[in-house]
Amino acid sequence: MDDTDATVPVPDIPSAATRDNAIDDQEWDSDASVLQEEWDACYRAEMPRLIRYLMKCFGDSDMHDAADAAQGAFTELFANWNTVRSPRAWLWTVAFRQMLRQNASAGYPVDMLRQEPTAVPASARLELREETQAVLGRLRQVPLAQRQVLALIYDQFSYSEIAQITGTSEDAVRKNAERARRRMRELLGIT
Amino acid sequence: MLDQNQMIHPGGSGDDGDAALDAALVAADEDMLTAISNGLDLDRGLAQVARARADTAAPARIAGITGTGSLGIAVTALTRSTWVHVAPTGMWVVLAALSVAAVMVAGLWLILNYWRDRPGDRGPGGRRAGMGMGMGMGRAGVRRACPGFSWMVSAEPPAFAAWAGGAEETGLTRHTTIEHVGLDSYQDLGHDLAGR
Repeated sequence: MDDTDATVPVPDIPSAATRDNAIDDQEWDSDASVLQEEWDACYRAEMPRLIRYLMKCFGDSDMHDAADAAQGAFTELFANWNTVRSPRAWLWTVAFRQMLRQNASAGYPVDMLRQEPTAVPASARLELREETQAVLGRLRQVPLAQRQVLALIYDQFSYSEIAQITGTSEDAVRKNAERARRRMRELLGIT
Repeated sequence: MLDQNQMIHPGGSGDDGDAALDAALVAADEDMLTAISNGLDLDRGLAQVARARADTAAPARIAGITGTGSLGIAVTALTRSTWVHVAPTGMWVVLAALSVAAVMVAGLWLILNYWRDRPGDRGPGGRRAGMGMGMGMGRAGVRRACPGFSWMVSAEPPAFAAWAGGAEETGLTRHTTIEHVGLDSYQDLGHDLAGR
């Protein structure tokens, strides 16, 4: 259940108001270095997780597409650092939309992403265990909306945050989570 | 670690099946995270973000010009376009040609304006009279063609009215208007002059 390994600590990202209050003109240099450290910590901790989330959601993309989308989201985040209240939820939202755009511009209609996905090896360029590849293969057979909710749950977002990220209600999130779990259990043969 | 409000098995009934599914998904997540981390160059990615930030912030560093003023917007647009994209040569040729044309038009306007308003050169036979007749700038010519509009003449600045009537020839001072001599129009003034 715990995907937060000890080597990559999740930073305690302060809210925008806290950051604004923390910045004082007279201590600009030191605050700038603190901000830089925050950015670095946030990037190092969240970048791999964001790529994983995108790869789980978009079964037909490889790591490089997901990395591009994640990088773009981080660039936007750091440009708007003082105005973003929940950086992590913001990143996940922006990166997902970026992936949708990339897939659409690559010739895949966005509507196709909402249909039953085909078994395309998303992790072909990664060296994954067979068990992992099997789980990902089953995950790709779950509809995108349910897959996204499931991925967000395992990325430690609350139901309210997931509703915000996906633009749906909490009830819809719960239903999608339940359906996704039931479908995954069927696919994996778990009784 | 899942959030408490998601319970132990999110969206599930909490039986052994959910525990097995959680174990499978978490194991896959950890394997993916390890593989992704191994394939990523985070230092390079951070450097790219820093470069992007520097490119975005650079136009704001132009001293004395803010991005909200009209000049600031133009400068920002130009500088950003040159930094982000390589501007084609044709664009600079067109910009240079437009700038030269604007300077020439402005210079010509200044010269003509100075020529028209040149002091001490306002007699009926002077350069200004010639310009006014030739370029349609002499308002007196219009009024001469429209007798009866004495109210317009009375509204005219005294100096202009004196010039229009020919101050030197009539003996009127520059501060004397048509109304001052009891005339209704320049036509009457013409008759009056002919009678003198």
